[in-house]
Amino acid sequence: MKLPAPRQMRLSGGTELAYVTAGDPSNPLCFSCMGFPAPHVHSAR
Amino acid sequence: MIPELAGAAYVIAPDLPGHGQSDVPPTLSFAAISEAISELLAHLEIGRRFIHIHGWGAAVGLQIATQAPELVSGLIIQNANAHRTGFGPVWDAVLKFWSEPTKENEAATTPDLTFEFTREQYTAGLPEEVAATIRGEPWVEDWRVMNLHGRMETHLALIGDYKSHAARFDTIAAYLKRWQPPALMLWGRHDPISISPKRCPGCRICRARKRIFSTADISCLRPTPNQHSPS
Repeated sequence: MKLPAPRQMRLSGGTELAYVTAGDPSNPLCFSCMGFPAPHVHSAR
Repeated sequence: MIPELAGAAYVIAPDLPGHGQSDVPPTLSFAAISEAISELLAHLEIGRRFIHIHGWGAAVGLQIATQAPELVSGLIIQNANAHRTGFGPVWDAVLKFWSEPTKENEAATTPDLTFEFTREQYTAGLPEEVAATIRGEPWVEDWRVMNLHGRMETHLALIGDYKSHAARFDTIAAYLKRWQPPALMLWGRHDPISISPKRCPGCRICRARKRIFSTADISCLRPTPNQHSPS
């Protein structure tokens, strides 16, 4: 499966937050909170 | 990891503020990062959720879990510490800095912010045939991102602020005992940072079978089929 392109959300403080979503939204949701050095989104390139 | 999870779940995976492609936040603390991630979950109107925590993602994911325990379907715990026994020897300098926050002690907390250490998170302890299954050299990109403007400062600040996560260990233990969330625990035994936890009484997570892999940290989700052992 190819990951979708990263999305950006502007937080209330004005900074941008990058995230990816993958899979069928009708499935149970898994929220991934990755630590050091947090390679989630750049892996999606 | 995400494509494999996405076969069974709808995955939402942010880069924590100050990491990956996310901006460096104005306030460098786990509390501020947790607020930012909660804002994302609210924006996406996320209700019940499994929470996967890794490394110091625990300081964020468990804060979110304890703030809305009724929304937690379960936890996937991957080398994510929430107990005093999880501090390996590499934490000695950090613990000293927390108790004596001098410049000198602060400098001693960061010898691990190197390219070599970043690579070892993937490769330490791996048999050659398993190391060969790692596609590309992801640590090269990790290191490039860590050297972007403000990222190293983020890591330094969070090493100091991890003390706030440690201060919440009792709160987290109380949450686990009260809510007993279903949990899958995965651990790479060669991780020098987060040591596989000892059992704590009354906690369903600690009564559950864990899977300990003969790998490093991040790479424990890339095992060969017969590489793990129950603990």
